[in-house]
Amino acid sequence: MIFFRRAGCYTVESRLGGGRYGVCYLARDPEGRRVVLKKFRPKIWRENSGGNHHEAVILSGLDHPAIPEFLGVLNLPRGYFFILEYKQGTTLKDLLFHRHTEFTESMILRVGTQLLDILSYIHSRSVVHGDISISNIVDDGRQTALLDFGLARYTGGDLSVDLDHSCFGNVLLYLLYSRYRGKKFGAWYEELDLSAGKTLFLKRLMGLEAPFCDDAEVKEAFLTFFSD
Amino acid sequence: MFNFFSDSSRKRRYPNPNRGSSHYQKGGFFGMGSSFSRSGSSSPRRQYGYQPYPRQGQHYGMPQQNQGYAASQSGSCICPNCGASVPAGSKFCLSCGAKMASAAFCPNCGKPVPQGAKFCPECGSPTGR
Ligand SMILES: Nc1ncnc2c1ncn2[C@@H]1O[C@H](COP(=O)(O)OP(=O)(O)O)[C@@H](O)[C@H]1O
Ligand SMILES: [Mg+2]
Ligand SMILES: [Zn+2]
Ligand SMILES: [Zn+2]
Repeated sequence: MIFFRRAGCYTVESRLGGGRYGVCYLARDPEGRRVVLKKFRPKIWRENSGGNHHEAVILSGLDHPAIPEFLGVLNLPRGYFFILEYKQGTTLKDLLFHRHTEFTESMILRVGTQLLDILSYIHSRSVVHGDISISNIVDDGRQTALLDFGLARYTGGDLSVDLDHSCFGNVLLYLLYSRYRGKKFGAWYEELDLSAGKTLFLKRLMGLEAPFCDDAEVKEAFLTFFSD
Repeated sequence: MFNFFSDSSRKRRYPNPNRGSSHYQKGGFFGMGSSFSRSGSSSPRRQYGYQPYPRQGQHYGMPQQNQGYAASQSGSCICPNCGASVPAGSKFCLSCGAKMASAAFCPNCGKPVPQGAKFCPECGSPTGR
């Protein structure tokens, strides 16, 4: 349900999705380009003005084709918005649970490799995403993009990069389960029929075995065990 | 069981590593697919088997910290358009939306650098200004 058609000079077309902090809308700028208006709940903006400054600063410092660019701020009587570049595609959550997409080995290899490239980039800029999940990743069949830097922080504070590694492992498990038709009886390492290499790789990501030191190590192991 | 702000939820941003199809094919409560591991979303048997490998980072605070811009590590600057305090690095004033020409990031570590700084306060690299 959309309650408004215009926000400043933007024309609102549809509601993309909602989450913790508000609602995202697909809109057009005056030149007809697609943008996302991320509307914050008034309460969050008023009482916790320290909260979304992290997202604004972190997005300002990132420049990557698979990360939405921060395009502006709209502070209107009807709401407070961030304007973000629109990344086309469907969230992994919708692909899995609405379109019932079955992710093949080669799809998992592509999505995983692209996500690891994005992670290497943000970690090289001292950013931990902190909320890598199937609803914060969109894919258009060729390219994966990482959204929602609402919980992202610079390293050196509360978050370390192994949080992103664990959440990446969790996303891989969702993709691997898209073709699982077996019984429900236990943990992923008991249910899924995975090679020893894949299992160890995922256990290291998930924190059940010694964690990886850095993104290069994760990528090398991923390519080794997910390429065949 | 759904106390999001309990002490045990401090670690909630790490996904429970012992879940199976009952989680990954159905999702948890409050919308599937969040990276948060929620009590009740894994089987009871598995809950007690949760033995994660020790992590390097110890404490994970609440995702939303109530600090003003002034408290952020690289300080803030003043919007030339509306006079509001803007966190260093933001490309736009968070009050009026004016473009902030002064926003800058360390070419080495990527963290925001304070207005006019010649060296990054985080890693010491020259900022190139
Ligand atoms: N830049 C974007 N491009 C395309 N879709 C987006 C974009 N930003 C958000 N969305 C959509 O809106 C949803 C909610 O946005 P998100 O930034 O994740 O907010 P929240 O913090 O509320 O989870 C996402 O799951 C996605 O479907
Ligand atoms: Mg989100
Ligand atoms: Zn201003
Ligand atoms: Zn630096």
